[in-house]
Amino acid sequence: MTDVKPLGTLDPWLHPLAGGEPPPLSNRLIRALQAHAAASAADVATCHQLANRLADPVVELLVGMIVEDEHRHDALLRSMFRRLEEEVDFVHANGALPVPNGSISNDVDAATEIAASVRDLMRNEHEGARHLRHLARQEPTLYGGLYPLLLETIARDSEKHATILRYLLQLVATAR
Amino acid sequence: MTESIGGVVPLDNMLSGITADVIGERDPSGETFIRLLNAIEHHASLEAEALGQYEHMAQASGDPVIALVMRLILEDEERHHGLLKRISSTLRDALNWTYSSNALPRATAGDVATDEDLPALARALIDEEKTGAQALRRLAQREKGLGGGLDSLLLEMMAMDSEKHARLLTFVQRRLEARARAGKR
Repeated sequence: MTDVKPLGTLDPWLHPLAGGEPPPLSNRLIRALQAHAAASAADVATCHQLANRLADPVVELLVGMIVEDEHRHDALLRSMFRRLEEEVDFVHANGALPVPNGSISNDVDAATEIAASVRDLMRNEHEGARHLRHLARQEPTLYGGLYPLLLETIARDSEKHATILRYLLQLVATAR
Repeated sequence: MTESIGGVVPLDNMLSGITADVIGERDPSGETFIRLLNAIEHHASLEAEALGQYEHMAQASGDPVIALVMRLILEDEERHHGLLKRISSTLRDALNWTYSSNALPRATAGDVATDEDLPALARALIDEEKTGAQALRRLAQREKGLGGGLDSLLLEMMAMDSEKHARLLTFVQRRLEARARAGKR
């Protein structure tokens, strides 16, 4: 019987650049992401089923927003898989997620300028979210609660954007 | 009654007053709508400005990670812009007694019967979204160093979206329950 060693797990010979450290690839992560992608695909199918069984344009609108997000998540998860697979196969894969490689400007002035813009955008996102929540609170029953719900949804996205921008700020700060 | 006047607005809307049917209280002057419309349009113009800034940053940075992250925000912002436009069209229609094709659907109280199992289906989806958000967040914490932190950020972002979905589905569930109750009457 021949034992087959799993490729690209912990063998430093297969990852000479990793300097003997375990490679950054995480099979556990790949499996977890695949499981999440499969669960999301099942949810999308259920969402479609829900919308189809109801002749309700409001439900259709809301479920449509969820499905749109799920499709974007799926595309992102696929880019993440491709990047992780690249690390195993040492082959460039089209559409793989980029990795921060310090290509952000080393020019201190430019980096300072970018950081200031990012901070402005973060402040705007936070203020925008606060403003929308304020509007939603003012009219909690408008259109059966649909409007405050939509405003709250946009506010949550704005907070998500602020989180994303905080990451960018860290990237820029590291580059400086 | 669905007869229209001038082909633009159902007669029953006019008779019930501009806002009585949508905010549950009479506001003959439409002040609530005007105030909200102004606020929404102001917010939409600020978001339009931000769109330009995000686009500029994505192109000017010359960095693929920044470009990716900016694209993610831009996609959301474009959707927000579309949604805010639909909200303001709907408010304008209510004020001017007109009908716009891009107006949002009317969220009148559910009075149409619905399958009894649908609220349970919505509840199951809510649980799924909440569990998914927790799993993504755990994963994001565990794999913080991977891909220079980008993977972790993206997983956190998806977790936030899942929580948002749970919120949307809670609204759907309540609406379905109202319809199921109406069906039993």
